[in-house]
Amino acid sequence: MARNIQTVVDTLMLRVRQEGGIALDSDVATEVYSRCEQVTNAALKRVLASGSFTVLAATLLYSYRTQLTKAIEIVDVETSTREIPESQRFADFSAYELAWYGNVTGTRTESWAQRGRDILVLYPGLASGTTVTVKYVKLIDLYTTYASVAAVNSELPDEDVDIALALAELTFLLRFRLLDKIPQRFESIIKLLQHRGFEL
Amino acid sequence: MTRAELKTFAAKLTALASNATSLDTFVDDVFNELQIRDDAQMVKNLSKLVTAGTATYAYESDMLRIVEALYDDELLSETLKEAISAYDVGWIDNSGTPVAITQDETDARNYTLFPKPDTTETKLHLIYADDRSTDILDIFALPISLDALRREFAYPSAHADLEAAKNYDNLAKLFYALLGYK
Repeated sequence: MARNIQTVVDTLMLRVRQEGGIALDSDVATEVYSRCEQVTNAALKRVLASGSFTVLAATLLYSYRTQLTKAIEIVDVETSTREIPESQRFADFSAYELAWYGNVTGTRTESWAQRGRDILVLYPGLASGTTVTVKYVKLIDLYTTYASVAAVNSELPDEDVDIALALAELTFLLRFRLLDKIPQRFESIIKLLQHRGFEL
Repeated sequence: MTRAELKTFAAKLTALASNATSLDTFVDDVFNELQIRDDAQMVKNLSKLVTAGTATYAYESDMLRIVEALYDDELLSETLKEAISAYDVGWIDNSGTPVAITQDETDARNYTLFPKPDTTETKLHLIYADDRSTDILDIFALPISLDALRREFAYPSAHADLEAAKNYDNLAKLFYALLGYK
């Protein structure tokens, strides 16, 4: 069951509350938690989306976020009939042909690669345009005010909400200089991440 | 998000006194240092006209580091001038189809093609990390801000706090690791 973000932010504010200390603005708490959700998803790749991607004739390089505005990492490219294999590095395209970047008369996309979080390469360039389906890690929506999340549920699975919450808690413990609490919290978040299979 | 929004967010992560001017500068420094790494994640591409007989070109105004270079239809190897000299001591006079690029020598704002091109054409294709002020992915806000705050509290000042700086450093490193930086 998806967890309501405002309720999670309430929990965060309780966890970092200190008697006689500096009050935590609920909007700031919401924004930091929301950004922690975004990073959690970028790391664990839990919330995915897919979209149709227009492949232009004679073009290999694309700034993929112009078409997929919420994409932060490509995880799969496919057509209606087959999955297209990924090339980890540009140099791997040489296995298809040495002059791979010059091939702009292909009949179907053979492989793909990404560079950074902006550039997608589809090899070879095609003689005529088409579309492929791109599956990607989604940039989770950002919320910056407490009021805006009153009726919004987290897109993250419940177990990953705990990771985002722990990251936000750590950030605020540091903000309020509650330094003695940080080592234990740090250790617990490392364990949480390792239980999710994330290698640090 | 924009660079200005990033700076505003960084300031929200400290409840104690800091210097807004220096914090802004540290955000810029952290951003640029992140972008000159080999594993830079914010990149763009450009096709460039090269001139016959000219080996060295200036970086574009927004260019911080070239991460991939292709000439015509092949990937250029990134190398050092010493390595090229070992291959051919007379390389500086050679011209032909470039096969290698060097960008860390003579001048940090230049790059050199080897051998120098023998035709004037738009055949050089670069993917490079840039010093963008807009279109910064939201996921970078936390690590960049925390890293900037680490610097803010580490330098000698009335608000210096080395213990806090160390913790900002640890937390920034955790966020960097989550985003795939080694």
